[in-house]
Amino acid sequence: MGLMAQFTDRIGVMYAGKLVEVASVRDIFNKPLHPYTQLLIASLPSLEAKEVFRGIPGRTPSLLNPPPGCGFHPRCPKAMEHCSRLVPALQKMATGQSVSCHLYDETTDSTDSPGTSGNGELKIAAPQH
Amino acid sequence: MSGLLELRNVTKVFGGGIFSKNRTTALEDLSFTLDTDQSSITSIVGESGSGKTTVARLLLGMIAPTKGHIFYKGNDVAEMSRVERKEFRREVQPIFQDPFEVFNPFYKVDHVLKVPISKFKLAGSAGEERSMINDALEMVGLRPDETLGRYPHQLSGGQRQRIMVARALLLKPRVILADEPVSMVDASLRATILESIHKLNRELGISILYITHDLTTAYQISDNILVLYRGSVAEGGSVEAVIKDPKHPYTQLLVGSIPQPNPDLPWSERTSVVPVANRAVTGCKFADRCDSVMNLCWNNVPPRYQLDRYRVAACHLFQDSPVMTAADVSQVFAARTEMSGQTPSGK
Repeated sequence: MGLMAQFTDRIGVMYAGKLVEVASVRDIFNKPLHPYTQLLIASLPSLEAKEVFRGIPGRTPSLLNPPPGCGFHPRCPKAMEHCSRLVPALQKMATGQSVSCHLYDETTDSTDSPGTSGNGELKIAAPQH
Repeated sequence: MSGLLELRNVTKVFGGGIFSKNRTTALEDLSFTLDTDQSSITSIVGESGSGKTTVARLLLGMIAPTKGHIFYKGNDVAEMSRVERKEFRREVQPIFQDPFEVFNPFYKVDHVLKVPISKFKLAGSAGEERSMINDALEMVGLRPDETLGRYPHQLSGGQRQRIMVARALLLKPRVILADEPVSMVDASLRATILESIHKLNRELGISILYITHDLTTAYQISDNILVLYRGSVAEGGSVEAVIKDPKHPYTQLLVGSIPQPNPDLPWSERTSVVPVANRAVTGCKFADRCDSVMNLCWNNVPPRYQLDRYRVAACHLFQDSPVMTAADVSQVFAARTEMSGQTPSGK
Protein backbone atom coordinates (compact mmCIF):
# COMPACT_ATOMS: atom_id res chain seq x y z
CA MET A 1 0.00 0.00 0.00
CA GLY A 2 2.90 2.34 0.69
CA LEU A 3 4.12 1.68 -2.81
CA MET A 4 0.66 2.39 -4.22
CA ALA A 5 0.50 5.69 -2.36
CA GLN A 6 3.66 6.72 -4.16
CA PHE A 7 2.92 5.20 -7.50
CA THR A 8 -0.73 5.32 -8.54
CA ASP A 9 -3.40 7.93 -9.28
CA ARG A 10 -6.52 5.98 -8.52
CA ILE A 11 -7.20 2.96 -6.36
CA GLY A 12 -10.02 0.43 -6.40
CA VAL A 13 -10.48 -1.54 -3.19
CA MET A 14 -12.00 -4.99 -3.41
CA TYR A 15 -13.49 -7.12 -0.69
CA ALA A 16 -14.92 -10.62 -1.08
CA GLY A 17 -15.03 -10.39 -4.84
CA LYS A 18 -16.64 -6.96 -5.11
CA LEU A 19 -15.38 -3.43 -5.54
CA VAL A 20 -16.19 -1.58 -2.33
CA GLU A 21 -14.54 1.76 -3.05
CA VAL A 22 -12.94 3.58 -5.97
CA ALA A 23 -11.26 6.90 -5.43
CA SER A 24 -8.21 8.98 -6.10
CA VAL A 25 -5.12 7.88 -4.22
CA ARG A 26 -5.34 10.94 -1.91
CA ASP A 27 -8.94 10.27 -0.96
CA ILE A 28 -8.24 6.57 -0.29
CA PHE A 29 -5.45 7.42 2.11
CA ASN A 30 -6.75 10.65 3.64
CA LYS A 31 -10.51 10.18 3.87
CA PRO A 32 -11.48 6.60 3.10
CA LEU A 33 -15.25 6.13 3.13
CA HIS A 34 -15.85 2.41 3.27
CA PRO A 35 -15.28 0.87 6.73
CA TYR A 36 -13.11 -1.83 5.14
CA THR A 37 -10.89 0.77 3.46
CA GLN A 38 -10.67 2.67 6.74
CA LEU A 39 -9.54 -0.43 8.62
CA LEU A 40 -7.17 -1.44 5.82
CA ILE A 41 -5.45 1.96 5.91
CA ALA A 42 -5.30 1.82 9.71
CA SER A 43 -3.61 -1.59 9.56
CA LEU A 44 -0.62 -0.27 7.61
CA PRO A 45 2.58 -0.37 9.62
CA SER A 46 4.22 2.97 10.23
CA LEU A 47 7.35 4.28 11.84
CA GLU A 48 5.20 6.33 14.21
CA ALA A 49 3.79 3.53 16.28
CA LYS A 50 5.92 0.66 17.54
CA GLU A 51 4.34 -2.62 18.62
CA VAL A 52 0.90 -1.52 17.48
CA PHE A 53 -0.75 -4.07 15.24
CA ARG A 54 -4.17 -3.16 13.95
CA GLY A 55 -5.39 -6.09 11.94
CA ILE A 56 -9.01 -6.35 10.97
CA PRO A 57 -10.80 -8.61 13.44
CA GLY A 58 -12.58 -11.60 12.04
CA ARG A 59 -11.90 -13.61 8.94
CA THR A 60 -12.46 -13.17 5.26
CA PRO A 61 -15.78 -14.78 4.36
CA SER A 62 -16.07 -18.04 2.54
CA LEU A 63 -16.65 -17.29 -1.11
CA LEU A 64 -18.43 -20.61 -1.56
CA ASN A 65 -21.06 -19.51 0.90
CA PRO A 66 -20.85 -15.71 0.99
CA PRO A 67 -22.71 -13.82 3.71
CA PRO A 68 -26.04 -12.29 2.65
CA GLY A 69 -26.21 -8.54 2.14
CA CYS A 70 -22.94 -6.65 2.33
CA GLY A 71 -19.96 -9.03 2.22
CA PHE A 72 -18.16 -7.08 4.93
CA HIS A 73 -21.01 -6.86 7.46
CA PRO A 74 -19.83 -9.74 9.73
CA ARG A 75 -16.56 -7.84 10.40
CA CYS A 76 -17.84 -4.30 10.10
CA PRO A 77 -17.78 -2.17 13.27
CA LYS A 78 -20.45 0.09 11.77
CA ALA A 79 -22.78 -2.64 10.54
CA MET A 80 -26.49 -1.85 10.75
CA GLU A 81 -29.44 -4.19 10.79
CA HIS A 82 -30.18 -4.04 7.07
CA CYS A 83 -26.52 -4.59 6.07
CA SER A 84 -27.06 -8.32 6.45
CA ARG A 85 -30.04 -8.24 4.07
CA LEU A 86 -29.36 -5.71 1.32
CA VAL A 87 -26.38 -5.72 -1.01
CA PRO A 88 -25.12 -2.13 -1.25
CA ALA A 89 -24.60 -0.73 -4.76
CA LEU A 90 -21.48 1.09 -5.78
CA GLN A 91 -22.58 4.72 -5.73
CA LYS A 92 -20.76 7.86 -6.75
CA MET A 93 -20.49 10.45 -4.01
CA ALA A 94 -20.49 14.22 -4.52
CA THR A 95 -16.76 14.19 -3.68
CA GLY A 96 -16.06 11.96 -6.66
CA GLN A 97 -15.39 8.84 -4.63
CA SER A 98 -17.37 5.72 -5.36
CA VAL A 99 -18.35 3.54 -2.44
CA SER A 100 -20.67 0.63 -1.84
CA CYS A 101 -21.85 0.95 1.73
CA HIS A 102 -25.27 1.56 3.32
CA LEU A 103 -23.76 4.27 5.55
CA TYR A 104 -23.89 6.58 2.56
CA ASP A 105 -27.33 5.60 1.26
CA GLU A 106 -29.20 8.85 2.00
CA THR A 107 -26.55 11.17 0.72
CA THR A 108 -26.78 10.42 -2.97
CA ASP A 109 -29.08 9.12 -5.56
CA SER A 110 -27.92 5.54 -5.84
CA THR A 111 -30.08 4.45 -8.76
CA ASP A 112 -27.89 5.54 -11.61
CA SER A 113 -24.81 7.56 -11.00
CA PRO A 114 -22.06 8.51 -13.41
CA GLY A 115 -19.04 6.30 -13.44
CA THR A 116 -20.92 3.20 -12.37
CA SER A 117 -23.57 1.08 -13.89
CA GLY A 118 -26.26 -0.80 -12.04
CA ASN A 119 -24.27 -4.01 -11.67
CA GLY A 120 -21.36 -2.21 -10.05
CA GLU A 121 -19.20 -2.37 -13.11
CA LEU A 122 -16.46 0.21 -13.12
CA LYS A 123 -16.03 2.37 -16.17
CA ILE A 124 -12.44 3.28 -16.63
CA ALA A 125 -12.01 7.01 -16.99
CA ALA A 126 -8.85 9.03 -17.26
CA PRO A 127 -7.78 10.47 -13.90
CA GLN A 128 -8.53 14.14 -13.52
CA HIS A 129 -5.68 16.31 -12.35
CA MET B 1 25.11 -14.10 28.89
CA SER B 2 24.71 -17.58 27.58
CA GLY B 3 23.87 -18.23 24.00
CA LEU B 4 20.81 -20.12 22.89
CA LEU B 5 21.62 -19.93 19.23
CA GLU B 6 24.95 -18.51 18.24
CA LEU B 7 26.84 -17.77 15.05
CA ARG B 8 30.57 -17.53 15.64
CA ASN B 9 32.74 -15.98 12.90
CA VAL B 10 30.61 -17.55 10.22
CA THR B 11 31.54 -17.14 6.57
CA LYS B 12 29.62 -18.77 3.76
CA VAL B 13 30.96 -18.90 0.24
CA PHE B 14 28.85 -20.34 -2.55
CA GLY B 15 30.11 -21.86 -5.74
CA GLY B 16 33.63 -21.99 -6.94
CA GLY B 17 35.59 -25.17 -6.97
CA ILE B 18 39.35 -24.93 -6.82
CA PHE B 19 39.59 -23.85 -10.44
CA SER B 20 36.50 -21.67 -10.59
CA LYS B 21 36.59 -17.93 -10.26
CA ASN B 22 32.86 -17.77 -9.79
CA ARG B 23 32.67 -17.49 -6.02
CA THR B 24 30.08 -15.56 -4.11
CA THR B 25 30.68 -14.66 -0.52
CA ALA B 26 27.15 -14.67 0.82
CA LEU B 27 28.14 -14.01 4.40
CA GLU B 28 31.39 -12.77 5.82
CA ASP B 29 32.61 -13.26 9.37
CA LEU B 30 29.29 -12.81 11.15
CA SER B 31 28.97 -13.41 14.88
CA PHE B 32 25.86 -12.91 16.90
CA THR B 33 23.93 -14.58 19.67
CA LEU B 34 20.32 -15.09 20.54
CA ASP B 35 20.20 -15.01 24.30
CA THR B 36 18.80 -17.79 26.51
CA ASP B 37 18.13 -15.58 29.49
CA GLN B 38 15.72 -13.38 27.70
CA SER B 39 13.75 -13.96 24.57
CA SER B 40 13.79 -11.11 22.12
CA ILE B 41 12.90 -10.28 18.56
CA THR B 42 15.86 -9.55 16.33
CA SER B 43 15.48 -8.38 12.76
CA ILE B 44 17.93 -8.95 9.97
CA VAL B 45 17.36 -6.56 7.10
CA GLY B 46 19.04 -5.86 3.82
CA GLU B 47 18.30 -5.85 0.12
CA SER B 48 18.18 -8.90 -2.11
CA GLY B 49 21.48 -10.70 -2.08
CA SER B 50 22.61 -9.26 1.23
CA GLY B 51 22.85 -12.69 2.86
CA LYS B 52 19.68 -12.60 4.96
CA THR B 53 18.31 -15.94 3.86
CA THR B 54 21.76 -17.51 4.06
CA VAL B 55 21.75 -16.65 7.77
CA ALA B 56 18.43 -18.46 8.23
CA ARG B 57 19.57 -21.51 6.29
CA LEU B 58 22.79 -21.69 8.26
CA LEU B 59 20.98 -21.37 11.57
CA LEU B 60 18.60 -24.16 10.61
CA GLY B 61 21.51 -26.41 9.80
CA MET B 62 20.37 -26.72 6.20
CA ILE B 63 23.74 -25.60 4.90
CA ALA B 64 27.12 -25.76 6.59
CA PRO B 65 29.28 -22.69 7.07
CA THR B 66 32.45 -22.43 4.98
CA LYS B 67 34.25 -21.05 8.01
CA GLY B 68 33.19 -20.66 11.61
CA HIS B 69 30.70 -22.47 13.80
CA ILE B 70 27.05 -22.44 14.76
CA PHE B 71 26.11 -23.39 18.28
CA TYR B 72 22.77 -24.35 19.76
CA LYS B 73 22.77 -24.42 23.57
CA GLY B 74 26.55 -24.59 23.44
CA ASN B 75 26.69 -27.57 21.05
CA ASP B 76 28.12 -27.22 17.58
CA VAL B 77 25.25 -27.89 15.17
CA ALA B 78 27.63 -29.73 12.83
CA GLU B 79 28.68 -32.19 15.54
CA MET B 80 25.44 -32.92 17.35
CA SER B 81 24.41 -36.37 18.47
CA ARG B 82 21.13 -37.78 17.14
CA VAL B 83 19.29 -36.89 20.33
CA GLU B 84 20.63 -33.35 20.40
CA ARG B 85 19.87 -32.88 16.74
CA LYS B 86 16.30 -34.03 17.22
CA GLU B 87 15.85 -31.54 20.04
CA PHE B 88 17.41 -28.84 17.88
CA ARG B 89 15.09 -29.73 15.01
CA ARG B 90 12.04 -29.34 17.22
CA GLU B 91 13.09 -26.25 19.12
CA VAL B 92 14.29 -24.20 16.18
CA GLN B 93 11.44 -23.72 13.73
CA PRO B 94 11.38 -21.95 10.39
CA ILE B 95 8.65 -19.94 8.72
CA PHE B 96 9.62 -19.47 5.11
CA GLN B 97 8.96 -16.76 2.63
CA ASP B 98 7.14 -18.57 -0.09
CA PRO B 99 3.98 -20.41 0.94
CA PHE B 100 3.70 -21.83 -2.58
CA GLU B 101 6.89 -23.85 -2.53
CA VAL B 102 6.71 -25.44 0.89
CA PHE B 103 3.64 -27.56 0.22
CA ASN B 104 3.66 -30.82 -1.63
CA PRO B 105 0.78 -30.44 -4.11
CA PHE B 106 -0.07 -34.15 -3.88
CA TYR B 107 -0.91 -34.04 -0.19
CA LYS B 108 -3.74 -32.31 1.58
CA VAL B 109 -2.62 -29.48 3.85
CA ASP B 110 -3.35 -31.66 6.90
CA HIS B 111 -0.20 -33.56 6.01
CA VAL B 112 2.11 -30.66 6.80
CA LEU B 113 0.52 -30.36 10.26
CA LYS B 114 0.32 -34.08 11.05
CA VAL B 115 3.87 -35.01 10.12
CA PRO B 116 5.58 -32.95 12.86
CA ILE B 117 3.12 -34.26 15.46
CA SER B 118 3.84 -37.88 14.59
CA LYS B 119 7.59 -37.36 14.10
CA PHE B 120 8.02 -35.86 17.52
CA LYS B 121 5.24 -37.93 19.13
CA LEU B 122 3.49 -34.86 20.47
CA ALA B 123 -0.02 -36.29 20.63
CA GLY B 124 -1.19 -39.38 22.52
CA SER B 125 -4.33 -39.94 20.48
CA ALA B 126 -6.00 -38.96 17.23
CA GLY B 127 -8.39 -36.74 19.17
CA GLU B 128 -5.53 -34.95 20.87
CA GLU B 129 -3.83 -34.48 17.51
CA ARG B 130 -7.04 -33.04 16.10
CA SER B 131 -7.47 -30.55 18.95
CA MET B 132 -3.80 -29.48 18.79
CA ILE B 133 -4.16 -28.76 15.08
CA ASN B 134 -7.45 -26.93 15.60
CA ASP B 135 -5.99 -24.77 18.39
CA ALA B 136 -2.95 -23.86 16.30
CA LEU B 137 -5.10 -22.97 13.29
CA GLU B 138 -7.47 -20.89 15.40
CA MET B 139 -4.50 -19.04 16.86
CA VAL B 140 -3.46 -17.85 13.41
CA GLY B 141 -6.99 -16.95 12.42
CA LEU B 142 -7.94 -19.91 10.22
CA ARG B 143 -11.18 -21.89 10.32
CA PRO B 144 -10.19 -25.55 10.76
CA ASP B 145 -13.31 -26.80 8.96
CA GLU B 146 -12.52 -24.69 5.91
CA THR B 147 -8.81 -25.42 5.92
CA LEU B 148 -8.32 -29.07 6.70
CA GLY B 149 -9.01 -31.64 4.04
CA ARG B 150 -8.05 -29.29 1.23
CA TYR B 151 -5.22 -29.31 -1.24
CA PRO B 152 -2.70 -26.45 -1.26
CA HIS B 153 -3.96 -25.06 -4.58
CA GLN B 154 -7.40 -24.57 -3.02
CA LEU B 155 -6.05 -22.10 -0.45
CA SER B 156 -4.81 -18.55 -0.86
CA GLY B 157 -1.20 -17.54 -0.24
CA GLY B 158 -2.19 -15.89 3.04
CA GLN B 159 -3.96 -19.02 4.25
CA ARG B 160 -0.97 -21.19 3.37
CA GLN B 161 1.39 -18.87 5.18
CA ARG B 162 -0.77 -19.01 8.29
CA ILE B 163 -0.70 -22.79 8.11
CA MET B 164 3.09 -22.54 8.22
CA VAL B 165 2.92 -20.36 11.33
CA ALA B 166 0.49 -22.85 12.87
CA ARG B 167 2.86 -25.70 12.02
CA ALA B 168 5.73 -23.95 13.78
CA LEU B 169 3.50 -23.31 16.80
CA LEU B 170 2.55 -26.98 17.14
CA LEU B 171 6.12 -27.85 18.08
CA LYS B 172 6.37 -25.39 20.97
CA PRO B 173 9.75 -24.11 19.77
CA ARG B 174 12.33 -21.98 21.60
CA VAL B 175 13.37 -20.10 18.47
CA ILE B 176 11.44 -19.20 15.34
CA LEU B 177 13.35 -18.12 12.26
CA ALA B 178 10.87 -16.19 10.18
CA ASP B 179 12.22 -15.50 6.72
CA GLU B 180 10.00 -12.85 5.08
CA PRO B 181 6.89 -14.36 6.66
CA VAL B 182 4.53 -11.58 5.61
CA SER B 183 5.85 -10.46 2.26
CA MET B 184 3.17 -12.40 0.42
CA VAL B 185 0.07 -11.49 2.42
CA ASP B 186 -2.16 -8.41 2.40
CA ALA B 187 -1.91 -5.50 4.81
CA SER B 188 -4.62 -6.40 7.32
CA LEU B 189 -3.42 -9.97 7.48
CA ARG B 190 0.17 -8.82 7.81
CA ALA B 191 -0.75 -6.94 10.97
CA THR B 192 -2.54 -10.03 12.29
CA ILE B 193 0.37 -12.40 11.56
CA LEU B 194 2.94 -9.99 13.00
CA GLU B 195 0.81 -9.59 16.08
CA SER B 196 0.69 -13.36 16.58
CA ILE B 197 4.47 -13.61 16.11
CA HIS B 198 4.91 -10.76 18.59
CA LYS B 199 2.61 -12.55 21.03
CA LEU B 200 4.64 -15.76 20.70
CA ASN B 201 7.65 -13.80 21.88
CA ARG B 202 6.06 -11.80 24.66
CA GLU B 203 3.75 -14.48 26.05
CA LEU B 204 5.45 -17.77 25.30
CA GLY B 205 9.04 -16.49 25.45
CA ILE B 206 9.99 -17.77 22.01
CA SER B 207 12.97 -15.92 20.53
CA ILE B 208 12.28 -14.63 17.06
CA LEU B 209 14.70 -13.92 14.27
CA TYR B 210 12.72 -11.86 11.80
CA ILE B 211 14.34 -11.67 8.39
CA THR B 212 12.89 -9.08 6.09
CA HIS B 213 13.46 -6.34 3.57
CA ASP B 214 10.60 -4.34 5.06
CA LEU B 215 12.05 -1.85 7.52
CA THR B 216 8.68 -0.62 8.72
CA THR B 217 7.57 -4.00 10.02
CA ALA B 218 11.08 -4.66 11.36
CA TYR B 219 10.78 -1.46 13.36
CA GLN B 220 7.31 -2.34 14.57
CA ILE B 221 8.05 -5.81 15.80
CA SER B 222 11.65 -6.07 16.87
CA ASP B 223 13.91 -5.04 19.73
CA ASN B 224 17.18 -5.11 17.83
CA ILE B 225 18.24 -5.05 14.24
CA LEU B 226 21.16 -6.02 12.02
CA VAL B 227 21.56 -4.37 8.64
CA LEU B 228 23.46 -6.56 6.21
CA TYR B 229 25.07 -5.38 3.02
CA ARG B 230 26.55 -7.99 0.69
CA GLY B 231 27.17 -10.38 3.55
CA SER B 232 28.64 -7.97 6.07
CA VAL B 233 27.09 -6.06 8.93
CA ALA B 234 26.70 -2.42 7.93
CA GLU B 235 24.95 -1.31 11.08
CA GLY B 236 23.46 -2.97 14.10
CA GLY B 237 21.91 -2.18 17.44
CA SER B 238 18.62 -1.28 19.05
CA VAL B 239 15.92 -0.87 16.44
CA GLU B 240 14.92 2.48 17.90
CA ALA B 241 18.40 3.88 17.31
CA VAL B 242 19.08 2.31 13.93
CA ILE B 243 15.74 3.03 12.19
CA LYS B 244 14.92 6.38 13.77
CA ASP B 245 18.41 7.79 13.42
CA PRO B 246 20.40 5.73 10.91
CA LYS B 247 24.12 6.50 10.79
CA HIS B 248 25.54 4.23 8.11
CA PRO B 249 24.95 5.66 4.60
CA TYR B 250 23.48 2.33 3.52
CA THR B 251 20.94 2.31 6.35
CA GLN B 252 20.11 5.92 5.56
CA LEU B 253 19.47 4.91 1.97
CA LEU B 254 17.25 2.01 3.07
CA VAL B 255 15.25 4.08 5.54
CA GLY B 256 14.89 6.86 2.97
CA SER B 257 13.50 4.48 0.39
CA ILE B 258 10.62 3.24 2.55
CA PRO B 259 7.48 4.08 0.56
CA GLN B 260 5.31 5.97 3.03
CA PRO B 261 1.59 5.18 2.89
CA ASN B 262 0.88 8.87 2.38
CA PRO B 263 0.64 10.25 -1.15
CA ASP B 264 1.59 13.72 0.08
CA LEU B 265 4.92 12.60 1.49
CA PRO B 266 7.23 12.41 -1.49
CA TRP B 267 9.58 9.52 -1.83
CA SER B 268 13.18 10.15 -1.01
CA GLU B 269 15.16 11.92 -3.70
CA ARG B 270 18.19 10.02 -2.60
CA THR B 271 18.90 7.11 -4.87
CA SER B 272 21.97 5.05 -5.30
CA VAL B 273 24.06 4.40 -8.34
CA VAL B 274 24.12 0.91 -9.72
CA PRO B 275 27.17 -0.90 -8.38
CA VAL B 276 29.98 -1.74 -10.73
CA ALA B 277 29.69 -5.43 -11.46
CA ASN B 278 32.54 -7.66 -10.36
CA ARG B 279 34.54 -4.85 -8.88
CA ALA B 280 37.35 -6.36 -6.85
CA VAL B 281 36.49 -5.38 -3.31
CA THR B 282 39.51 -4.22 -1.42
CA GLY B 283 37.82 -1.75 0.89
CA CYS B 284 34.26 -1.01 1.93
CA LYS B 285 31.77 -3.07 -0.09
CA PHE B 286 29.37 -0.14 -0.20
CA ALA B 287 31.93 2.36 -1.52
CA ASP B 288 30.70 2.31 -5.13
CA ARG B 289 27.14 3.21 -4.11
CA CYS B 290 27.91 5.51 -1.22
CA ASP B 291 27.34 9.25 -1.56
CA SER B 292 29.69 10.00 1.36
CA VAL B 293 32.56 7.95 -0.06
CA MET B 294 36.06 9.07 0.88
CA ASN B 295 39.43 8.12 -0.56
CA LEU B 296 40.27 5.68 2.18
CA CYS B 297 37.02 3.73 1.64
CA TRP B 298 38.27 2.13 -1.56
CA ASN B 299 41.21 0.31 -0.06
CA ASN B 300 40.45 -0.11 3.61
CA VAL B 301 37.79 -2.39 5.03
CA PRO B 302 35.98 -0.35 7.68
CA PRO B 303 36.11 -1.88 11.16
CA ARG B 304 32.97 -1.91 13.29
CA TYR B 305 32.89 1.32 15.20
CA GLN B 306 30.85 1.40 18.36
CA LEU B 307 29.03 4.71 18.17
CA ASP B 308 27.25 4.35 21.49
CA ARG B 309 26.00 1.70 23.88
CA TYR B 310 23.34 0.49 21.45
CA ARG B 311 24.88 0.87 18.04
CA VAL B 312 27.67 -0.37 15.87
CA ALA B 313 28.38 0.84 12.33
CA ALA B 314 31.02 -0.36 9.90
CA CYS B 315 31.83 2.92 8.18
CA HIS B 316 34.91 5.13 7.99
CA LEU B 317 32.79 8.19 8.71
CA PHE B 318 32.90 7.20 12.35
CA GLN B 319 36.62 6.66 12.71
CA ASP B 320 36.66 8.86 15.81
CA SER B 321 34.53 6.31 17.65
CA PRO B 322 36.14 3.33 19.40
CA VAL B 323 36.44 0.12 17.40
CA MET B 324 34.24 -2.60 18.79
CA THR B 325 36.51 -5.22 20.28
CA ALA B 326 34.09 -8.13 20.55
CA ALA B 327 33.30 -9.94 17.32
CA ASP B 328 29.74 -10.61 18.49
CA VAL B 329 27.56 -7.76 17.22
CA SER B 330 24.76 -8.64 19.62
CA GLN B 331 26.86 -7.04 22.36
CA VAL B 332 25.26 -3.74 21.42
CA PHE B 333 21.75 -5.16 21.50
CA ALA B 334 19.38 -3.67 24.02
CA ALA B 335 17.77 -6.12 26.42
CA ARG B 336 14.00 -5.93 26.58
CA THR B 337 14.03 -4.73 30.21
CA GLU B 338 16.23 -1.80 29.26
CA MET B 339 13.86 -0.99 26.46
CA SER B 340 10.65 -1.06 28.46
CA GLY B 341 11.98 1.26 31.14
CA GLN B 342 13.80 3.79 29.09
CA THR B 343 13.97 3.65 25.37
CA PRO B 344 17.57 3.93 24.29
CA SER B 345 17.82 7.03 22.20
CA GLY B 346 19.81 7.21 19.05
CA LYS B 347 21.74 10.21 20.22
